[in-house]
Amino acid sequence: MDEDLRYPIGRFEAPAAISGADRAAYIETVAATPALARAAVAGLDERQLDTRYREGGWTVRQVIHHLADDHLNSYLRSRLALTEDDCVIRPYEEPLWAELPDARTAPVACSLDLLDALHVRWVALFRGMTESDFARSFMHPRSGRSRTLAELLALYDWHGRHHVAQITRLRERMGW
Amino acid sequence: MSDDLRYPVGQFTPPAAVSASDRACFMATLEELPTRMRGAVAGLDEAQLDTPYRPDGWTVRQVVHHVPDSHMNAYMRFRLALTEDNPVIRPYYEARWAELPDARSGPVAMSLQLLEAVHVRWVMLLRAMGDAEFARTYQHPEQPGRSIPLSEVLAMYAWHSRHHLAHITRLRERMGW
Repeated sequence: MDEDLRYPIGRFEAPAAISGADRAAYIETVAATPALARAAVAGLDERQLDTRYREGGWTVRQVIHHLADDHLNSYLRSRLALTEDDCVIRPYEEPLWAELPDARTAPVACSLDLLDALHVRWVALFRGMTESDFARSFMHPRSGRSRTLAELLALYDWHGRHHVAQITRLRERMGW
Repeated sequence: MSDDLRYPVGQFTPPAAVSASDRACFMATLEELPTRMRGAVAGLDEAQLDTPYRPDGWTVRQVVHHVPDSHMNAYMRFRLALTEDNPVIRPYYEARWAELPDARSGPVAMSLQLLEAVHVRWVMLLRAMGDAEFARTYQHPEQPGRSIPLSEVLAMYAWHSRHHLAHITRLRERMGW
């Protein structure tokens, strides 16, 4: 049950192969994510925004701020991988970021606006990328695992929908 | 103000001390930047946006795209320093970033919008920080052994804001635009 609440659309599974058509579909999802996030929290009051989407999980507000912070990181990682060979990225402590005062209490509007503006730029970057750009990779220093930018794009097709579903499922369960 | 085309507001000198009222001034500079940047490019046509602000320098467009890219990195570095002890931050090749196709040819409107949104979030973070948070530090891998307090980083980005803004406003003055 907790697995379902935590991973409402399932865990991310890296696709074995990613075609140009797959990439185009992922880019569409990334382009649509800010509007989906905005719709997911539309009409919620402050108390509802401060409700955990599952026991022990983040509040709705923390989820929204996390989306903006995390996608900002990944936009920067995309640029790092495009401009460096053997690129090693800088991880960050997601749970600690989500506990900073602004992530716990700031209005969600500021992160929804940031998500809007960031995705316009990120999508423009993706749309300008060639097949060989998408084959460029970066390594996560902790896992030692390399990912191509095509895989990063697939991950962010999932990541936006994943967090939006955490919120929409909560609303369904609560009858909000 | 100098006649130096590359450093129109002078090079950055780390202040010896940064008081709470200095910090308030620096934050005000950051808060105003998005509006001032929008004003700096208002009315420029595509050919003007593609004009280097100095010989061999970035075009106005590249400057406009560079500023949010740089300030998003800065926003991240603040959060890293607030959540880790004296972390080593991740530098990036700003010259290469500015040569990516979107930075050379993308519409400036998207970066003006992004700058606005990032600064709202960044300034909100800064305003919630007190003396203890501004005393937290990070290290740049190219300056090993030097721990840079966030108060100095704030001073640097206030300078960085005025620096790039002046590239554009000085060009317009010289060109009579």
